[in-house]
Amino acid sequence: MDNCVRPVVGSVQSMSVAALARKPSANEQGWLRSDAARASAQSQRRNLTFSGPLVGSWYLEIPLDLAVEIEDRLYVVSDDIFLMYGAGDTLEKALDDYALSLIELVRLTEDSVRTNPHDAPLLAALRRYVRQTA
Amino acid sequence: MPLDARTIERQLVSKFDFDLDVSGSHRVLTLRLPGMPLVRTFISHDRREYGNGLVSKVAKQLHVRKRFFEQMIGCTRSREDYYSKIQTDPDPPFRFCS
Repeated sequence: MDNCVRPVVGSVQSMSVAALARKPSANEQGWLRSDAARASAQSQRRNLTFSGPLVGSWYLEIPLDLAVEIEDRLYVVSDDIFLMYGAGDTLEKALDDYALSLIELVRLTEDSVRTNPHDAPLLAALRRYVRQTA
Repeated sequence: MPLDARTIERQLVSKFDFDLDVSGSHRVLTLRLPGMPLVRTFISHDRREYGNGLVSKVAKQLHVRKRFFEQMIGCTRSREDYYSKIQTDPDPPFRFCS
């Protein structure tokens, strides 16, 4: 394949913890609430850094920059590394959905790599970002 | 243009030969092509309508622009068009390749 972009692992700033992502600052909350209140056809976009506990024993080791968009009162968060997204009526629900998707991607890639070596680089990257604790 | 989630799913399965797995937290559609990483997209179990924002996310997971994806779900882009696109000019490119 010649359509690869090499990952820039390690460039993500480790300046935030899950609490920041799951409980936005007062400013962020104000922005999110006000945008949600007047959300309609207009889509807004902001960013946050997501890291720390995901679901159960899963942990996001390296922070991921997520875009946050609101469209028709629906929060959509997404990343540009694994191309995953999550959606929900609130930011927290969207982040929960994103976390589940990311874990599902790990499982899917673990399965796929058994028969497709082309998924090995993705799995290696996922394992750097996402860990399952004992 | 908003799209019906089940229409997306039905078209990807019947027209583009994706496999569908509904056993997890999302409905997962996968496509295996020789010499390529797994192509996959995730669809919600309970959200029926996909607005522009979500359609863009699904398109991105399938490595095509939103407009191209809408044409896939409509009738103006064939399976051959899509396979050729992701094998020669995926957008965005596959970030993790061997």
